[in-house]
Amino acid sequence: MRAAAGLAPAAARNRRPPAGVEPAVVGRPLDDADLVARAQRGDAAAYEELVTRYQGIAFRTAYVLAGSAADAEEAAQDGFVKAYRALRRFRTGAPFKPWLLEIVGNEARNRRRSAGRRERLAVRAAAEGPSGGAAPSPEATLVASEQRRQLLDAVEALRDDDRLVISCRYFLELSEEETAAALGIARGTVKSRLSRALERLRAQLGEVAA
Amino acid sequence: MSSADLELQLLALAADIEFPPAPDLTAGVRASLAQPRRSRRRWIVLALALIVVALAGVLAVPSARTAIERWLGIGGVKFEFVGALPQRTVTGTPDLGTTMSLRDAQTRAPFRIVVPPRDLGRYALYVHEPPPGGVVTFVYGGTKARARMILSELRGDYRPYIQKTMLQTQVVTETLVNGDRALWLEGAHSVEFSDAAGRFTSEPARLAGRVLLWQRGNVTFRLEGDLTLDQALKIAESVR
Repeated sequence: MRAAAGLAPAAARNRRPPAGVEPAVVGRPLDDADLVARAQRGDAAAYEELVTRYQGIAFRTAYVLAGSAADAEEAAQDGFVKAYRALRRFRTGAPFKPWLLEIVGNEARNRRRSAGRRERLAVRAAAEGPSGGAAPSPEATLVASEQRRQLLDAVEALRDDDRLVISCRYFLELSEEETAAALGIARGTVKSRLSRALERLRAQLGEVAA
Repeated sequence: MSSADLELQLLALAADIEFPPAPDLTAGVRASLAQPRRSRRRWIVLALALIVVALAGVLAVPSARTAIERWLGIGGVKFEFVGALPQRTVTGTPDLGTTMSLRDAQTRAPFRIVVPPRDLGRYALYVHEPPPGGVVTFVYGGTKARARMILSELRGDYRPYIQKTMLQTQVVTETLVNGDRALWLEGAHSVEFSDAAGRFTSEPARLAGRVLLWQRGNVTFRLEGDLTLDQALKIAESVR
């Protein structure tokens, strides 16, 4: 619930519950560690909150890895189920997201489609120009949209290792640790693989431009 | 275009990528968790850490310890479960030993080397010692650093173990290769080999991803590559 966000700060400060009514406990949202600890004690609602919180990134990560929306949904769901059953092994204090993405990544890779059957990422048809500033001309929008499509095509044409590491880091905006977990590789490998992937992408874009 | 420009463009592109709408998984997860657990087809998911905890008391008994350690490994490979993998410099080029002909490798190996079928493509053969008896490795798809797939064969009847695999993975999946017990490992794990004195050395060591391990007779096979479980099983079943 974000209703309070619309109130002016002074109004928010001055709110008082009517006399005789217990104020609702509207504290900060529970952080992942709290939710995990509750879920480990069998609190199903706490785990559902974690599912709600991470289902978007779990699905998108699985989609990038598996190459199909249907497989991604299955992989993400199975990943959450396996993670719940493995919660007792979760190391207290460790971040939940990479741990979850490692499990979902495993599930997704086991469902990975061959290159020919993989669904491709697409640029939004009516991608808007950069936010803020003056509205770009229709021609400028068209050029920018074409450039984005070319860039995505170039990424999609890379070999799988390169495409996946770029997609995780930039399109899914995963950290190095999360990328390593999702791809099932070491963190050092993410760095070296990403650097090589960017080099090859740059070379490819250079060829297109030439 | 500079690297920084390219990275900026990729970050900008992220906002315009159209992913399929994410489904609401909560109901499906809730329903799955409400069902009793079932083993799937021919393999069983082992919650290894739970087993380790459950067996912690039993491990104090020496006779039981041997049996359990063997069970938590396969052939010449022992597993060790760790909270965090050792910090290693990953060179990307595994030290697989010396390249040699199949005939030379066979004269060194104390077991009959199983040559994979030709349709897997051209390979380079390496033999690494230590460990005792050596590890014979077929490398497919180019140089060691860019290998597509690696198939290693090593003695499976040597005690103490030849190879130690340190795992931080979530699950190990038990399966079968032509009726022989096999294990499928996913996620980063660290591999070490023992020297002639049985000491595990930190080199050669590397971090691996997906690996299928199986044991036939006195030979342990280790298949590593960017493979799904089904692909790995298909290849493993063709190596006979």
